[in-house]
Amino acid sequence: MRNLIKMILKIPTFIVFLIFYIEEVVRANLQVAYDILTPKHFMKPGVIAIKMDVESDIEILSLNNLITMTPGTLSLDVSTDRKVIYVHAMYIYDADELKKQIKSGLEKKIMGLYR
Amino acid sequence: MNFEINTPMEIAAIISLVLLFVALILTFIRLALGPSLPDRIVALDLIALLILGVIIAYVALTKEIVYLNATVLLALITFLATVAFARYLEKRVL
Amino acid sequence: MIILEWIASIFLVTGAFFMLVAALGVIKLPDVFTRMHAATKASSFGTGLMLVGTIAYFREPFIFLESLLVIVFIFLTAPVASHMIGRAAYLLKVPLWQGTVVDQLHGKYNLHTHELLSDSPPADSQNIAKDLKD
Repeated sequence: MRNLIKMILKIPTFIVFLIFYIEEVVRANLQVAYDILTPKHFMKPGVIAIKMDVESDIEILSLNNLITMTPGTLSLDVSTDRKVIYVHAMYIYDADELKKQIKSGLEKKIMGLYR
Repeated sequence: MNFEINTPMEIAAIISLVLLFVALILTFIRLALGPSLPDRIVALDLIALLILGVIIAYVALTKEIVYLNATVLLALITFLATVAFARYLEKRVL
Repeated sequence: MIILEWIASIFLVTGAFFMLVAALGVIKLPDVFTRMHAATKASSFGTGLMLVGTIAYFREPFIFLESLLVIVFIFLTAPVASHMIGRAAYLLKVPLWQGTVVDQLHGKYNLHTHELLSDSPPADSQNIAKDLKD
């Protein structure tokens, strides 16, 4: 019963999250289209490791999905002890800045959705 | 297969079919060239999604909505095929 | 209702355009990982837009449900598929593009057990790997 009430209370958060997700997908695709259609590419791709605070299966899956669908990043693998996620990014001008962005932006959203 | 090209939707369907066929040709080039096996898997995955798009454009052109059922199956099978290929390559490394 | 038909046509053509962008990206970009960026994002978004176009065009409950099912399924599975391909590509040692600036995944895979470490391997792991080989 308590779980049911909790789920019903989460519905507005979920709708906000869905709008955020669609917005991110549209931005990601506009960026990909821009990258591909402009002739000269000034990419700086690379693989970076990001420490995760989320723990359960569904949270890690959502974080993976969100990272892949947001602009410029693609999740490659999760370490066996489930503490670190490896992310391939298109533009790495400052690796620490990007890590901070993903942690404060996407991971906070996931935590707000499931906790 | 009988259709007329009058309404905006039919014109749009024809345009999208042309775009999708160009995309299919480009992806087949990558499938043939692909320096490594993962490149080819990426190309195969993309080809399946492009064919899904062709089915949707065909449905919009002829209004035979029965064919929309095929998209469900194709989406399911594509995912399984891609995961199976990737898994096979990964196991072969061992 | 002619306006809805126009909107549906625009969605259909935009979706097909994004799929063409995905194919162009697969041709043009330099290595597997950057190609996966284009193939995963643009193709699933293109399919989604085309299905939204059919929803807006036919406006029937059954088509709405079926198309929504396919959209949700594609958006749930595309990242999983790209994750699997990326893992296989890294384990097969597909070379990264020479312009790659940083690779923090280097040396983290155990090539015998396919375990992935979360930080740098201890200094004597090289010897253990050698022992396993002998």
